[in-house]
Order: sequence, then C-alpha cells, then structure tokens
Amino acid sequence: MSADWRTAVLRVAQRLDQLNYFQLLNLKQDASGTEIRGGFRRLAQHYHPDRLGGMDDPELHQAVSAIYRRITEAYSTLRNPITKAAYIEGLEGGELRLDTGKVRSRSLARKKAEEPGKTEAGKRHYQAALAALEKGDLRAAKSEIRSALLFERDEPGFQALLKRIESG
Amino acid sequence: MSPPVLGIDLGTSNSVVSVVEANRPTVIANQDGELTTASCVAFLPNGSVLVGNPARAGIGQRPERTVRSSKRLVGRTSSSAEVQKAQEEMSFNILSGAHGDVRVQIDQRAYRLEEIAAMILRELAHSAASYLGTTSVTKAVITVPAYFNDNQREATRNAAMIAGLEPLRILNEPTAAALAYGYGDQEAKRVAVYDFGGGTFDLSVLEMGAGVLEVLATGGDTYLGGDDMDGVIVDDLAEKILNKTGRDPRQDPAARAVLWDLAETSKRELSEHDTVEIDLEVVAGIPMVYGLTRNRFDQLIEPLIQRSIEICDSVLKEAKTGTHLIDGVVLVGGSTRVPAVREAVRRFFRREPDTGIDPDLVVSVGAAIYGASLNDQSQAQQILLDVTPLTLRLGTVQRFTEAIIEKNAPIPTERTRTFVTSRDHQEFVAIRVFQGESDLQADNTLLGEFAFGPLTLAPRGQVEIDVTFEIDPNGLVRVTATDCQTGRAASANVRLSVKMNDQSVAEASASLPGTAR
Ligand SMILES: Nc1ncnc2c1ncn2[C@@H]1O[C@H](COP(=O)(O)OP(=O)(O)OP(=O)(O)O)[C@@H](O)[C@H]1O
Repeated sequence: MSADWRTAVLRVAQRLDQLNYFQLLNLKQDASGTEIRGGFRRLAQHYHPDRLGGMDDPELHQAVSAIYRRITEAYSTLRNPITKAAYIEGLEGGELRLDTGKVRSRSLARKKAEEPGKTEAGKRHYQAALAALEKGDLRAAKSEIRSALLFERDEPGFQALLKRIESG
Repeated sequence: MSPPVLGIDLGTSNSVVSVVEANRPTVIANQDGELTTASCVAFLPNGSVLVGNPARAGIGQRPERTVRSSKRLVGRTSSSAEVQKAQEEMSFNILSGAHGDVRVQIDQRAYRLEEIAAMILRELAHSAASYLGTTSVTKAVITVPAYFNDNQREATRNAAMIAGLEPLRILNEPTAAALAYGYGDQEAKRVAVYDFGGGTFDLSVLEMGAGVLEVLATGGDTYLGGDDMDGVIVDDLAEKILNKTGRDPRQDPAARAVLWDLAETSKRELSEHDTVEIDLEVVAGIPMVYGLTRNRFDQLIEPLIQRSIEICDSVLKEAKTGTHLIDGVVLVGGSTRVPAVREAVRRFFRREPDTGIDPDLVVSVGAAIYGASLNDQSQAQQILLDVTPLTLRLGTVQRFTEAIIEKNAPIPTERTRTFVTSRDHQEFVAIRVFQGESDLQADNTLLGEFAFGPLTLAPRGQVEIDVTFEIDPNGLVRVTATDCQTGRAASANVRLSVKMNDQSVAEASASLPGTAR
C-alpha cells in the first residue's frame, strides 16, 4: 500500500464531517438506484477496513474505519427512498448527516393517514385500544379492540392488533 | 510470519476447526482423528470434564450431566421461548442468572453458556495446537448463524476470550461457506447459500467477483431445523404407540429421550434408504416394529421444507433478485442431506446445487480462508461487504420502538440521533436498544438499557445529546453519546443486559475447569 494512499485516506478522514452523503459517494442528487449502488461499491473497494489486513498502523485503521462507517451510512440512507427524502430535506437546512429521528416523524405522519377502519365507532375504539396499550393496560386494550371488531368484524388492522394484544 | 488464524465453526451439534497452510485450507482432526467434534460437554461425578465426542458417547449414562446444543441457549434470556422449550427437551438443569441470563447447573456450580462454549473452543484450539506443533495459536475467526443478534454474537466472542483465544472476527456462517467455494476468483456471480442445520435455517444471497464479496440480503428462521424433523417423527411414532397401547410415551421423560434418539437415527437412515425399520419395543413395552418409508417422512416434513422455501422467496425479493439471476446454490448444514430438501431446492432455484465441499466442513474452511486474509500483513485480497441481519431499534414512548439501522444495511456502519432533555436540570438520558422487526418492544430482543450522563444542567429542551449507534464488522452493537454543549462524551451505564462484562470474562477465564484428555 502506497504512502500516497495513506496520506489521501487521512485527509479524507479529517474532512469527513464537512462532506454530505452525495459528495462522499461522488454522486449527483438525482442519482438512480444503480448509480448509488455503483458509487458505494467503488468507494467500498477503496476504503474497506479489510484492505488493511493485519497491517500495524492504528492511525490508518481508525481513519479507514471512520470513513467506511460513514460510507455505509450514506449508502443505506440514500438507497431507501424514505430515508433519502428525509435526508435531502435536512440537507436543505444544512444538516450533512441524517438524524434518524427526522425519518420517524415523517413515517408517523404517513401512518396516521393509513390508520385502519371505515366506521367512526370502529376507529374510535381502535384508537382507545392503542391508547390503553400505550399505558400498558392490556385488559382495557383488549376490550376496546374487541368493541372495534363488533363494528367491523373483518378489518385486518383491528384483527392484527387483537392478535398482538393476545400474544402479549 | 504471524501465527496462523484458526477458522472455527462452533455448531449446535458439531464443531469444526480449520487452518490455512501454504495457501491451502486444511480441516484439523481432533484427538480421536475425527474432523467434527461434538458440541458436547460432560461433567463427571468425580469432577473431571469431558469435551466433544467422548462426552456425547456417554450421554445415555448421564443425560443430566451432559450439556448439548448449548448454542441454542447462548446469549438468550431465561424467559425467552427458546429457553423455555429447551428446558422441556433437555435433561440438564437450566437456571436463571441475576440478569435473566441462562445458567446450567451441575452439582454446586452454575455455568454460563459462554463457559460451556469456551470449553468446546478450547478443545478445538488444543487439537489445532497439537496438529500445528505450536502453542502460539491464539487468533481465530469464529462463525455464527447470520441471524444471530448482538447478544448472541457478544456471548460467542466472550466465549472465545474465556477460552484464551483472540476473536479476530465473528463471521456469518453463510458468508464463510461462500468464501470456501471461492467464487470470488471469477467474474461477478450471484450465489444463494441455503443453510439448513440442526436448529436454524437461513438463506443468504451474495454477489461475488473480483475480490469483492457482497451480501445482498440474508434472512431466516431461528426455530426451523433438523430438530423439527426429528420432532415430527417423534410425534408420528408416539401416535402409533398410543394407538396400540393406549399410553402416550411422550409423557415419560426417559421414553421421550429414547424416541428423539430413534427419530434422529431413522431420519439419517432415510437419507440413504427408502425405508427404515424402527424397533419400538423399549418404548412401547410390547414387541413392536414400525416401518417408516421415505415417502411418509417426506410428507411429514413437507410443511418444514415449504417454510424454508417461503423464506428463500422473501430473501430473494429483499435482495431485489430472482431465481433466474442466481448463478449458484451452496448447500450448508446436515439437514441438506435429506433428499426431499435437495429436491425442493433444485425445483425452486431450477438448478443443481453445489455440493463439492462437505456441508459439515464448508463453514470452517471458509472461516480459515478469511482468517488468513485478515492476517495478511501486506494487504487482504478479499473484501467482504456483509450486512446486519436485524433492524436496530430504539425504545420510544411506552411499548413502541423506532428503527435506527434497517436490517440488511451494510456493516460496519453508524447512525446518530439527537435527543433533547425533557425535564429541567435533567442529569441523565436513558435509552433502551433493541433488535428485531416489530414496532412493539416486547416482540424484539432487548440488547441493553443505557443511562447517559451526567449532562450539563439546564432547563428542559436546552441540552442536546448526540447518541451514536454503531455496528462493527462483527455485527456487534455499540452505543455512545456526546453532550453537544460540552462536546464531552457521556459515559454509559448499562443497567439491563444479559451480556458479561470484561471483569466477569476475565474471572471466568481464570476459573474455567480443566478438561480430561
Ligand atoms: N445424513 C443426514 N440426513 C439427515 N439429517 C442429517 C444427516 N446428518 C445430519 N443431519 C441433521 O443435521 C442437523 C445438524 O446439522 P449441522 O451439524 O449442520 O447443524 P449445526 O451447525 O450443529 O446447527 P445449526 O446450523 O442450527 O447451528 C441435525 O438435525 C442432524 O440430525
């Protein structure tokens, strides 16, 4: 392994916190899935910790490991459309790394829209069951979801929750 | 030259050790000249300990003093379903330790599962040392099922340290198997590794080529294995006896043990022959012989095989590939000797599976190959892009969780998450970390509960803490935190975990009982 390579690696490690995921993987923001994967593989070959083998150079090991962890972080974020969208949103606000908490608020918003149930009464009991579950009151949760099922016997979302409650 | 690295397949029923010498992998025979060593430890009344095949050979005389299949229990909590099930099936005494960890009681001593595994590892290392004529073999690559969670991986690593080995890497079994076949030398190929063992099943899809081995996806079932095939035979035999004698032999522990043994032997027979005559007299109490045909057996295990194929289907989907894009299928594990299993694999993948390397040895051989490459002072030839098998989760309000690192994400990797204090002058922030695929905490495995602090004292919402979740190349999880105000790393207090700490590993290592040879 050349001395040049070592110097280059240490330099990248130093700048790591100034690079966004696209810069790190050498990609444009509109890169396709295949391009993202290609970018990852190219960098992985370059910076994979296994490349160092048993080499006795702790500073280099640490640098390579930090870079590689960031590369995998970037790749797994960008290959998933949901996390990619959350990342781009944060990037516009100047955040170079994805805070996973941001993804959650988005996916919760999405879940709200997909809440099961067609009848008002069914939905109300379903919500009450969820609330009871959050409080840890299994008995109340069970009785609420049973009530929800009285209104919509075949609603899969209701059935799934009952099953979950019953299996503890 | 640095000392050689051992490749160790620490299996549920059998373990194997290999090493690469002069660029060629060799499987090392044990003291008795056998290539596989039973993962069995027997504690004799006189205080001496037997490990391996001699321990298994005596299991009939001292079932309650022989620990077998301990891999099924390692890194689990005593309240888990698997441990409950094992308690019913196994004759040795299983206890719960202080933190819900599992212990095995023999006489006055309660052994940790890590200690049992350490005795097996030490035995393998001993065989290797005498084969190599050296005492300096201390490094090892040890394999685990791809599906192992952090607790199980950590326990395996601690077992190695208790045994006096340096665990250079915890490697996934299917990855090791693929490495053994060395597909990496040719142009890019997609390979499926179908691993049907004693207790578990998993399928992994890998892409190999030009010095890079990439795991695209892995998935499996930790409750599906050869043991289940034995189970359906046991039920079949028991029904026959029940019909004839009016007594259910499964009610009697001794009779049940004999039935399991008969079932396993018959199953192996059926891999070679079309029918097997099973003498049931010892169990039934009256002269009784039952002819089990391969057809009947195939029928009985059909749902088990079907389940494995369903898993194949879903893992292929996750890898965004299809059977027509698979260039090779590697079989691993004793249960792939069952003809109906091979037939199902052949039909599903529409190709002949590779069986060039003995399925019992292939994992250890691959581990040795990888060990040699990691040990190379110049530069490793093989780059391994492995993935985490389970989603890493954070416990949130009440009983829910939030995904931090998705399953099948490449490792090593990390993510950060910023927390703000929710109370005035809050000193600590507590987080619970899980692995699994459910939104509900209870359906996942708890890895630990950490309390980070002390934090800068300030009104609520004013203090930010960056928590970093890291998965290392072994698949091991590490959680660290920094106080954003001070930039200081907050120390973690692990409050809840089945893991051993460094001190208890050192103590266990010092007090590991010697083995009779
Ligand atoms: N010839 C055979 N025919 C059928 N089944 C067999 C045969 N040989 C071994 N088995 C079964 O294979 C299983 C053991 O497989 P293997 O040794 O690969 O598992 P393991 O590595 O110990 O377990 P795991 O992979 O679950 O950790 C047992 O259920 C055993 O009965």
